[in-house]
Amino acid sequence: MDADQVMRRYAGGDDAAFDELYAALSPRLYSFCVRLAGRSGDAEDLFQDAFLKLHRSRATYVSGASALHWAFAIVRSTHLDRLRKRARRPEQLVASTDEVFEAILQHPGSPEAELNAETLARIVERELQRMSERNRSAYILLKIEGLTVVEAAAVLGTTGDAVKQRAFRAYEALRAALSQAGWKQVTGA
Amino acid sequence: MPDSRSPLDSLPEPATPPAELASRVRAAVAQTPASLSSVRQRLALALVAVPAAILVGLLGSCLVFPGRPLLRVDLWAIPEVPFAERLLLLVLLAGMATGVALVPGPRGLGSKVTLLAITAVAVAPLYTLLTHAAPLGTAVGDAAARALHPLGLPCALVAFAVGVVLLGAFGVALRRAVPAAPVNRAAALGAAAGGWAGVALFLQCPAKDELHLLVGHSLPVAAFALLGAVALPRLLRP
Repeated sequence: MDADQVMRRYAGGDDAAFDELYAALSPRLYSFCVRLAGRSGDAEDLFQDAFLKLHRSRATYVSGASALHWAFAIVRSTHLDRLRKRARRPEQLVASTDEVFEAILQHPGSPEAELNAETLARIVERELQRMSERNRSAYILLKIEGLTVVEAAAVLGTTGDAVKQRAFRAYEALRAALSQAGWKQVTGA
Repeated sequence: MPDSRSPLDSLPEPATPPAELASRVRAAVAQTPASLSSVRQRLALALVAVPAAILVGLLGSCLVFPGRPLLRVDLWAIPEVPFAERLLLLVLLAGMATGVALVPGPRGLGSKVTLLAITAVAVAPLYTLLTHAAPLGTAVGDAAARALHPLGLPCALVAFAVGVVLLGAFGVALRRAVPAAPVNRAAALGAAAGGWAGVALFLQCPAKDELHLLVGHSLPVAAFALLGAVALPRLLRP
């Protein structure tokens, strides 16, 4: 299923394409939301808000553009809106990220492997939530979602150099946190 | 060849969204109306608004400021070629700014952020350079200019009227269509609107006085980039 084609149909007014579009975009968008917003409740709200905005602005989708990257930009814009609102009306944030791991972890394997994966995810998630939103979003798009520097720069509305710098800062922070927790860099052939 | 891997390369994949969330999204979408007018249609309307806003602004200024001519009084006496060249350059400047600010780009996320920033910053100085350096004039124009407000406040008002209409038209054209870099995009839209307001002034006002040109013509053009950056981002975000 080609998300771009489905998005083109949806942008043209074909409401029946919504289910196909949801199926095509939701796994990557949800993953992005979880990593961006941290807490699972927040991530779900962000996902819903972003999908609603995608629906409202569907006619502004440009045929031929990547629907996924366009949707990433909407998610990020929605996330920034929510941060701005939260800054105006601060609420007590729960420091624990435990809820996130239940949503994040789907790692079949041995109990030992699952434990390792869980510990790793905990450290990474905690460190991601600790760093600035700019560094976090650049790292997620570049290193986790696999966008190129140019694509990530377009989604984030900044320059390629800025994206590289932000992702590098995030990567260094994560590496330091993992090394502090006893994880070693693996060197292989 | 040895390669270096970090545990970060083997992060577990996040889960898929819960089914309950999907039904929530579906219900919310079903209740929310969405405009189906494409950006292309809205951009075409915005471009039609450019000559219309200039015409209405100039006509309106004749009504608001009695005795103010629709076009500069020395239009028929001024040397044709330098005037046409200058007008063409000003139109090109405003047109390029409009293009950079409005174009959706191949990714549908607008022009590159650096280009938007350069546009927002460069329009006013270039406009000033084109209108202040060796300003065009004739004896007829100089005589008429002596009766103008020394600071060019009526000119600033005309520029404001034309610019605000265009800023509104550009904003409506890109309403909810700018998920990335909305502030840069808004500033570039403001600069474009200011550029067209400057064209309107060039067509109407024969002033050559530095202070008049600076306060009445260049300052409003510069102010629009700032006005756009402040007023438009909310409208542009999805």
